Amino acid sequence: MKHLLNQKKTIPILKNIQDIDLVGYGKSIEIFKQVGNPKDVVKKFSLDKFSGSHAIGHTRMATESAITTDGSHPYSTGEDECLVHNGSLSNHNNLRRSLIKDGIEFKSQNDTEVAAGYISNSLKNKTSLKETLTNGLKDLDGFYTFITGTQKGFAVLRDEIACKPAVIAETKDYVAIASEFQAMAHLPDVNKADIYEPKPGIVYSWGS
Amino acid sequence: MCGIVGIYLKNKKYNKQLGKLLTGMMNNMASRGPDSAGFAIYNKSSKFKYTVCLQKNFELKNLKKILKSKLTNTKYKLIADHVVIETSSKPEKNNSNFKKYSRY
Repeated sequence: MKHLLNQKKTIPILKNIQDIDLVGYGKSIEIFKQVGNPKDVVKKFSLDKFSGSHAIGHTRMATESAITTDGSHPYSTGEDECLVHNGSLSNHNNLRRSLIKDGIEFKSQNDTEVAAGYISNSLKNKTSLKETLTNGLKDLDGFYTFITGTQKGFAVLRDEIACKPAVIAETKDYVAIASEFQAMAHLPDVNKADIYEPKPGIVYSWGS
Repeated sequence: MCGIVGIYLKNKKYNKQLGKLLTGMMNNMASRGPDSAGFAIYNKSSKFKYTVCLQKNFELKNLKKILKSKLTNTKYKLIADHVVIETSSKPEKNNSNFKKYSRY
């Protein structure tokens, strides 16, 4: 299996261990991903036992690359950063080439990995998450709803045509986002939640 | 297709149920993406965490053996084929075990 995360090579202690792949790292983040039906995957990782401040999930129908663990989301390309994506990018090959010139390496052929690299590269240059995603509207061609997580919270962005669905439910206790409302039907007090569709081309962020 | 979900807690009321809430969200999106699944959980620690995936035939005890002398104050959490290594050793320039990140 190819390395899931490129920075493994920048962490020498892990670099020398051929039999592991680094999935994510940071002060807060823990990432788990695997091939298989989501219902089996979440059971395998005992997701229901986890506690924390925020969380992001992805269920994949493969389009741009093979069904493998390193083709699975979330993609993490920086400390406490991760990205999930519904949609597909059409300029990821060009963008990959230009990011490689900036010193970034990609291990999979996946389009989302390129977007994750784009975001990390921008954050590395001290651009805020909101500004990074706003710039992404120009630089990332294709259709997408992104959720990108940082240590403090997460942000949501849909392409300007809003090809891919998204719905937000917000109460005094939480903000939830999902591709379809049915994903949130079990959440506490969801009947009293403020429910709206995020507008195309607008960055929504919480905590960050 | 693909399904994406996220939940951000504004206060501590549901911290302990975060995984449970996300489980329901992912189960309900299984029909949008039956091929694979993954999730990121944010739970702040005073230490540094690395999530690694063990390849076939490589066991946690082997990993522990390799890292024993290199990391300090370390805990290992094994879940399926993933291990969360929680350690005081940070990947920063002052720690001789790690180089400063050259990328990202």
